[in-house]
Amino acid sequence: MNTSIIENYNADLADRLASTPLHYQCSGLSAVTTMDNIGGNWAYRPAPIFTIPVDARKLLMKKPISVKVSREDDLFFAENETLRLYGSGSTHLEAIEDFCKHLMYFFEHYKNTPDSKLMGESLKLKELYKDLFLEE
Amino acid sequence: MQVDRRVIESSLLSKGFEKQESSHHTYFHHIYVGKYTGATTYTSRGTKYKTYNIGLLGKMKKQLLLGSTKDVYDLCSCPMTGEAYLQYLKDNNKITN
Repeated sequence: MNTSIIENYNADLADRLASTPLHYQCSGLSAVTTMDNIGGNWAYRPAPIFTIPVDARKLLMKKPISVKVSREDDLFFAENETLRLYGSGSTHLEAIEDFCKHLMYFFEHYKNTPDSKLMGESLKLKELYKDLFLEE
Repeated sequence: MQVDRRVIESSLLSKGFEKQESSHHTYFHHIYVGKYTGATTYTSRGTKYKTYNIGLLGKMKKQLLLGSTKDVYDLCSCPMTGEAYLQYLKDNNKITN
């Protein structure tokens, strides 16, 4: 083996080390992900929902609901684990729209169901849904 | 791991769930001694939802108060009986009076 290769390598290495900052730290950027057409499954950061469109009006949330939007294979999902709800669709907007439909369904369901007809987890869910909206 | 939507719906109905229809979805509420337990899920009617794959079954896991996607598969495709599901809910303190 030609020893000059090793010497050149060592010289290159020393050169690169000399140009590396002394107090190098990771920039804190999120992990690099592949493009959609290579790695098809991904997730957005949770996004808040402030209003729900119902027929011709909008219902304003007393507190915004956090919705996690993700894609798995050919479906988009919008989820809130606390409410145990998920919406799905061919686009992220369809998934959020679907989520809102479920939200309204369960809001009405728990509003119209007396406590005497509920037990266990359903009572907890009713409490969550109880003061969800302000009407515009 | 996948289950036909119609199989899911008929399985749930035979295991203590009550059906409620809306314009785009069918909701299934688990009922015990005349009360809703809080285990509730839904199916969609679009062409993309004729079969529920592992992703969709996984979303139903928390709704049905189950611990794994495999449990959802078992409940929706018959290995888990209605009695076994009810016992699971009791054992995990999901049903209280």
